[in-house]
Amino acid sequence: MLINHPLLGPRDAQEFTYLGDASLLNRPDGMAGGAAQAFHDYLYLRDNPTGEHRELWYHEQGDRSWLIVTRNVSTHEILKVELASDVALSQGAKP
Amino acid sequence: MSEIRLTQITAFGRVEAQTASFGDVTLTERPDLAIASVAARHGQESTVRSTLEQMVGGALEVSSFREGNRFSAFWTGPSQWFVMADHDDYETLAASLKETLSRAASITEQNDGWVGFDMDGTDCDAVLERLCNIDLSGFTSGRAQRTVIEHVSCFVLCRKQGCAYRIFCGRSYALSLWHALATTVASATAVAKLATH
Repeated sequence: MLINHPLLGPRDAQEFTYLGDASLLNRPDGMAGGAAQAFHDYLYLRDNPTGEHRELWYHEQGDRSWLIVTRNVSTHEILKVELASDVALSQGAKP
Repeated sequence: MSEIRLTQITAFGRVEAQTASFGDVTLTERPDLAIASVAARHGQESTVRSTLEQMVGGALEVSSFREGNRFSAFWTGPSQWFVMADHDDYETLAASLKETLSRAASITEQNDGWVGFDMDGTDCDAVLERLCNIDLSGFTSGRAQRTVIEHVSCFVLCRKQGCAYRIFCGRSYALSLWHALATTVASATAVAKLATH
């Protein structure tokens, strides 16, 4: 499997490690009201659909950047690769 | 106050650099390089990059490696670089970079964190293609890539395509990487020699 790194071009999947679903980026605010319930849901509740997934991959044997890979888990087709930092910033994360 | 004199030793516990030659390929350990990692802080990427580019006299875009008169540097990741200089002249490279870049960058000394090896010869590609998955046809002079060699994470720098490369690995892997490099160079040289007979 090749992952088309946004900066470096196609790289072998063996250079990457997989963390989990990209929804992990949406970490709840621990200081807000209802934080305990929010963290419970964040930690334990997962969707597990077939088809397209957005996943966090780490380019460990490369430039050490975190990527969001949109991948169809039925066909293994990779549809989109983005830098996770770009996505997080566009969602209003603090740098 | 007593004067403490310490003898510098290489990653192999020796005083002299490790070298080996097989055919026309030479491997040389480079303990004479001072190394520092530079990571630009938020919003400071262009400041740090232009400072480093002035030091090495060339552009330091993604995957590039530049050798200047006194300093050389290569891209290691987004907003991050390794800077190298002669160890005798710039033993405190990290401290002097910190003075120059101040709060624009986070700098860590890597003198004893990484070990460098130079590989020189007429056909180093025959060796590298056995060791790692770098696309050597596009790996031209002035390019740098992080990759895996024998399960060891390495930076490979191209000084002259096909003929001169520099490879860095974590210092504690020096012996393992040396074994991989020397074995592969010996093997590739032997195969090339057999082919000529």
